[in-house]
Amino acid sequence: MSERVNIRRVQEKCFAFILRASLALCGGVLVFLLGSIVVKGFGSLSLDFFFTPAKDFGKSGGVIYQILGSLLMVVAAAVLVLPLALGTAIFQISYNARPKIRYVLEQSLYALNAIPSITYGLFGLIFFVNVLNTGISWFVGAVILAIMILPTAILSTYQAMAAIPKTYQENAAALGLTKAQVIRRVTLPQSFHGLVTGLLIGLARAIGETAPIMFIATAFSGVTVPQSLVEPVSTLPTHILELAQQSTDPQALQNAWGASLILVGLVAGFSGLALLIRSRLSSEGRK
Amino acid sequence: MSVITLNPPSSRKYRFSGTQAYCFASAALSILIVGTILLTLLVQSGPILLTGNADIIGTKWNPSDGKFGILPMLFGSVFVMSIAVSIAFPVGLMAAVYIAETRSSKLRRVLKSTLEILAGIPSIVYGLIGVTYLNIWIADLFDLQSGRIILTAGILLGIMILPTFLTLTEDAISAVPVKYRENAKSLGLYRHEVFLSIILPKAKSGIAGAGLLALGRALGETMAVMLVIGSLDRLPSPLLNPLSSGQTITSKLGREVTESAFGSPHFSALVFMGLLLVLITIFLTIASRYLFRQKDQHV
Amino acid sequence: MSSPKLSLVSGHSSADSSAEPHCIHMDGFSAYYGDNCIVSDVNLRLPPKGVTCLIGPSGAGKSTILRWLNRINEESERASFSGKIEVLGRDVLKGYPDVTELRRKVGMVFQQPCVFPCSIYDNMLMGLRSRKLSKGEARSIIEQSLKAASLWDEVSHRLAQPASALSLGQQQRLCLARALVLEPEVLLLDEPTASIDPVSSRAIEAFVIEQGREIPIIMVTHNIGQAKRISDHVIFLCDGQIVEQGTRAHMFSMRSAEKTRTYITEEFCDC
Repeated sequence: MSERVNIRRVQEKCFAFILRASLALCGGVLVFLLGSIVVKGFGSLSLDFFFTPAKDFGKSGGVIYQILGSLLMVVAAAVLVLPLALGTAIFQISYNARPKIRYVLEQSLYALNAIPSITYGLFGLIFFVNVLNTGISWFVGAVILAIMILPTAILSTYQAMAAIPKTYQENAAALGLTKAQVIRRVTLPQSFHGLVTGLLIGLARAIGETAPIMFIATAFSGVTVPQSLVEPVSTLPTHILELAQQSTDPQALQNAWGASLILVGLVAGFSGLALLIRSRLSSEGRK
Repeated sequence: MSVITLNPPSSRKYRFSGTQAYCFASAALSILIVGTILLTLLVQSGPILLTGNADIIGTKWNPSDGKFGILPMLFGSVFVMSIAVSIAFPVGLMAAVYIAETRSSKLRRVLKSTLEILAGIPSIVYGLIGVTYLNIWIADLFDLQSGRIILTAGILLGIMILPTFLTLTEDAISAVPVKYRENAKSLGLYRHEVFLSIILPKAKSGIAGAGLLALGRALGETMAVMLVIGSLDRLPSPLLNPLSSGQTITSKLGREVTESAFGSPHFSALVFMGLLLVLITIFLTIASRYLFRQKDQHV
Repeated sequence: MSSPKLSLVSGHSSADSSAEPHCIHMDGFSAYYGDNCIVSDVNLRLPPKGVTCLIGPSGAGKSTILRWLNRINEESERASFSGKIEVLGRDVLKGYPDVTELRRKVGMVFQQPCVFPCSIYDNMLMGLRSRKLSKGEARSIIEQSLKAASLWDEVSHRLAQPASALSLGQQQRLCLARALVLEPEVLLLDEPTASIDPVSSRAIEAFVIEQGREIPIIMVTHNIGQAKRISDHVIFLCDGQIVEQGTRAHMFSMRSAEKTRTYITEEFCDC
């Protein structure tokens, strides 16, 4: 009997060892990834890098227009997606009584979330650039990014709205407010943090995307601030892509790492803001 | 009696329908967008499906000959995905068990938030890491001229889906109530027995859901794969040789969409592959949602 | 309010238990959760047979004492204890380097019935891994245990069905039977009847009385009537300290401390 118990004990020790080894492996990968981004990135960062335009096909100079282009596009996407996400979320929570429509809408959103990013680009290329004949345009890119972050924004808003205790709405309705007034006075203020965090998480994802915009919205060199809706811009992710493809050139690679660090910084900034607002506003909303 | 009616009901009614109309329009537009995307891809892949002699289920991709066999790309996608999954799933599962079963909530918090940062790194940055390090290391390791091969893409992709899979799996394992652990342990079971006999069966649908979601991510990932896979439109020979260059559906799209003329059979074949990809990933997502819902019901 | 060191002289189980070794021995036991002291300076000696009921208001530390006896509490992050616990003559920490050995000797059943996601039979089999048994032996042990928990008649025809299909009361009895297959030398019961139906409660009480003739059973209960029905000894805890302990006859008589009497009568009124 004791022999059998010992075997089980050895098995337990092996199990524990495998767990630790796996965690160590994950930790190692994690440290390597973050470490290489930070170390390599800081190596090529300087104030000039932030504030000068790219020269020599990105090999020298900075990334000012890439940063501006990226920000322009995601901010436009946020402005586009805001009313749509809000309306759809309110529809789901307040007006949608039929379970079938609710189901279809929900599944559509999950489907939308699942679509690989490159096919968004493909869709944009067909539908906007060719069928609607817009040409390569940053605004089309913003529209596509808006579609991409739509599910995140809607779901986050919806969850915040669903978390409001039913008694709030019932009490407001008992005071004689109409449905629209209840929405405006109770539902909206109580769930605003959900919309904002959803948007920010969406932005964090959108700003790092390359595949959806590389066919339809960007040009590599010679681009400054766009003067109209139908001009291309240059963005950080597509800039990194171009530089990474010249990976034999150390100068290009170094600039790619610098741009990557800035991009990761922007992503982290948006996500951090989202977390902050979630903890701030949601605790305020509960009071 | 009628004096009590202060607001004329008509004005309320009007505002009511204003908000309502806005919400209905938003919801309709949201559904419309999904429909339009699917329809556009379907319509545009029509020409190649209607052309009889394009050999779409073939192994040769040669636009100048009018040969558009998608098998090499399909195979490449599945192959790269399999490598990624066979790296990420075991490591992710075991690390998730460690995080979930650890008694230190501090360690757990730190690890979870770092994983979230990792999941937020844009794929192009992973691509850059692949180009700078991984592909050179692999080339040195196997003594190859170029490290841009299926194996590199698979490993890189495995690293990319690891955070997502790990976090979701950890959620599923942590969601198993403590009482199961306590009951199992008071029967004198060892830790690995508690996990394998009790926790794993309880968490399995959640873990499977996490797996499917990660599969979907792996299939749809473009940038990182495109930079390191080598872009060769042939089936590897021998078929299961991970050291040969290859092509996935996504890397194919990323490379060739801008080179093909809109409306040509070439373009249409590319769109068809995109449509296929969309359908597969949507299926995986819906299946994983189903599994997650099952998990909620059980626990 | 000192904690009296007391060798319990039981009513009907054995006449001279003080001569026998103690199955459980606590000296200066204090338990903490983080910085909060849950139980302070408890001294206990329990005889090797009989049913001991821990009673007292919620938060008195009854469960905490129980949960340290098989060290299940060390799975919680911030729980710790000081002092000495001896179980079956061995120190609970040093005497059992392999904690699973301790847990196999000290069976435990919790308040919430908890069946594992497999068949009834596999649930029963879960504890038997430590013993080399043929299929027939295992089956007979399982049958005996299920009979002891008066569950056999209800489940004998459907042992292969998932255990989650049983009613809550049946699940709890399954948990008892499951703890029994290990032939534990001590049995800890943490309010086993608190969340189940009266019929199953009665069955469990009968089980406890029956098993208490063989092994020591320590049971937390909020139900004073139950303690009166089944206990040999009663320990009354309040605010993490032992107020009084003694035989059933003593504790439920007018000779017990005033605080005990107040608690017992007021709990009765609540029922």
